[in-house]
Amino acid sequence: MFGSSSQAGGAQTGAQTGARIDRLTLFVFAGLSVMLVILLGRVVQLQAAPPAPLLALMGDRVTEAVEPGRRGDILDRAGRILAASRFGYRAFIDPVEFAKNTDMGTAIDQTARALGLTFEEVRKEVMDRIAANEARKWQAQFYSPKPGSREERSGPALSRFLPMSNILDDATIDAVKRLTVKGVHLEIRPVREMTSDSLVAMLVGKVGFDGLGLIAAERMFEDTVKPESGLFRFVRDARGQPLWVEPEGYEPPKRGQDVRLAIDLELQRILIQEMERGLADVDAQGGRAVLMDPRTGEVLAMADLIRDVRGVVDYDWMTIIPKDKRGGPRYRVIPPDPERARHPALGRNRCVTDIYEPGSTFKCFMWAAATDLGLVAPSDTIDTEEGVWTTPYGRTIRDVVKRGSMSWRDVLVNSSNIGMVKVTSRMDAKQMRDAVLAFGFGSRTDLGFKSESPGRVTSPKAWSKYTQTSVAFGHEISVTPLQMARAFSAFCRNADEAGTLPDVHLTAVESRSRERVIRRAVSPDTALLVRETLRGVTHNLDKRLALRDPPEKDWRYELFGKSGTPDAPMSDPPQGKRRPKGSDGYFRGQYFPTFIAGGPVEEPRLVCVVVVEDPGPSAVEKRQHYGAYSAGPIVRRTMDRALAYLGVPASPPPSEDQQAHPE
Amino acid sequence: MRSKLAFLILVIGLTACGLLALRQQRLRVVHDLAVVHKNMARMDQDLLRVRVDIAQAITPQRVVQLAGNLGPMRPLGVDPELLPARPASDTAIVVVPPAPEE
Repeated sequence: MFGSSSQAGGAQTGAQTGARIDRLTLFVFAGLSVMLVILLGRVVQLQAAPPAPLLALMGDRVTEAVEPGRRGDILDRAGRILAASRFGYRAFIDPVEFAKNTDMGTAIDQTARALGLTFEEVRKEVMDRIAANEARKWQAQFYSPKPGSREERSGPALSRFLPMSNILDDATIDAVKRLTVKGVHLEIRPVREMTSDSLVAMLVGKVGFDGLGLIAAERMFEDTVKPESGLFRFVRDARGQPLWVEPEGYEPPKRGQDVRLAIDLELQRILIQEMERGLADVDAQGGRAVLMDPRTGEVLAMADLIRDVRGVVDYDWMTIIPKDKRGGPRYRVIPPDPERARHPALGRNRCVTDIYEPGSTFKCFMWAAATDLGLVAPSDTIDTEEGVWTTPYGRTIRDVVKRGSMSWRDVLVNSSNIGMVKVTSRMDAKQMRDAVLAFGFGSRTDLGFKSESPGRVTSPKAWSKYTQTSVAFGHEISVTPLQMARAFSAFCRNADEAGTLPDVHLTAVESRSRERVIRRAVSPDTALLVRETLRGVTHNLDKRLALRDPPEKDWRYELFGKSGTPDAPMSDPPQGKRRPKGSDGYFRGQYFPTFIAGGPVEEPRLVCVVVVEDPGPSAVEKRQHYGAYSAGPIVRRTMDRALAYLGVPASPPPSEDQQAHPE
Repeated sequence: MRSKLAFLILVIGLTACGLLALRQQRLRVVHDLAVVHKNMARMDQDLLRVRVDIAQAITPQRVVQLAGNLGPMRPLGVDPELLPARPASDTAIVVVPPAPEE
């Protein structure tokens, strides 16, 4: 009985325990279910309608990083990189975060050390900005922001970006990354690097800090090389690391297209090297040169050098310089260019912006025009009056080579002013002016430089007898070296193109269009006749070079060309100054010797024009300042090296007849 | 009935855990993708820098300078001591070395 009652009691206790467990289980499951339902409800609420404070926080958790695109490269004609982009870092401070540093003095000190700045520099910048932020916060207390505005959601707009450096080097970047200071960050920026700064800076140009081309090719081809930035939108975690990227959260950047210039870096090096040598030989103040392919009009090299010469003084715009100036001050003949001192790319490209009087180099164009009009034949004899002649209107003309008479061909080879004036006086003013314009003078080459000068040609109204005489030997007309190279190309082109001007290009010509506008200056026969006649000038140049010590001879290529030695012209007077009355606008006793040549004579591949600006008094004293002595050797050496570099076969040796009668 | 209910809740819970694990895994993958993408961008930047460095090191000016540092140089193949005697005619003679015996 006892046993059975005991068993019954145990069963009852077991049943009670089981029931308790069941209740507990039920309670736990019910609790869990309720919690799950609450959790689910909260998730739905957070997803569908999050509270305002959380909404602002959620918005800030999505980071939009702009991925800068890469600007297209600027290449030379052989594909060498002239300018390319890379990415660099610069440091900036977030003043709001920076203010959270507990020890502000240590934070500023560490930041200054990492960036290589002084404590005071960083302190002033940062504390000023933090103070400005505090002021904005204080002001925000007194007005209510617009409903729905960002200010309503996240408070007053505070300054969060304070740039602290330009592009940093690797060591500084590492130092900034190691910093434990709050609020100091690195920002990625595109950097434009030029590979041959000293050689091509003025042609390639420069890019500003905003990534836009400022000048020269960088500006001309901005639309082509300009990149499009991409966007990288990601959700970040509490530490700011990317958590995930939405499928549409990445737009890749588009890089700009490359531009291939006509410039050849090696030809540019050769030209500059020879210019530096030639200018130093005569102690010139500067020089300009252009190397062009006459067949396509591509500018292969361009040099614009200014030397630091001792003893040069600025013209005071009061002194009248006498015509027979000897001794006296050596004036600065090159107009100042302060931008060039900041960066070579920012200076004027004087081959296209600054004009000069071509002097005797212009005679070949007038010679060609008179011949083309049938006013004279190459073998006609011209009375050159033993070197001194007075025109019917009373102007005295002098020659350097004094002879009683010479053939029309020799008038050009010997550069006779009298012969040129006598024959070109057979042209009327319109014919002469039209001939000048037909060679492209007075109009821009449209190379692309915004500041390109069209040169100066006297207007028909102002064209006088004096002008007619002056233009015959390259006075009263102003040109740029680029215009001269284009005009001289007319004598270098072959077949039907002989006598025509090419379109000038700064970019490499991929394929020549068959349908193009032809600008004919003279007939093909006349062009070839000029070429043949100008061989005599370079023969004379070669003879002079062979007599030098050490002699320069055994040239591989035969050239044809023309020299000139005009006086150095005065530039436009600075603001507030005027040219003194009685001044004729020249720095007398100072010269701009020049030489222009094409070659090889059998099938010209290059045109080279060199202008030497003011050979020193020593060169003038030794009469070494003439174009054939100062600019000629530069052209000769450049052409020989450049043609060899281009793989042009050497000129055949001159025939016995040519050796006996080179002119 | 209770056991069925318990089983149902357990299954739902496990399923939810599974789904959460999958979601976490997906998050991890896209996170890794984002990190890899950032690394790629950084490597591209390094590549650009190296490219510019190479371009700067191989300009004609620099090559001439480097060649100058090597001392006087002469064109290849014109050393008369190294060239065979020039035959009477202009016919080129190509000397083929015998094949090595195996």
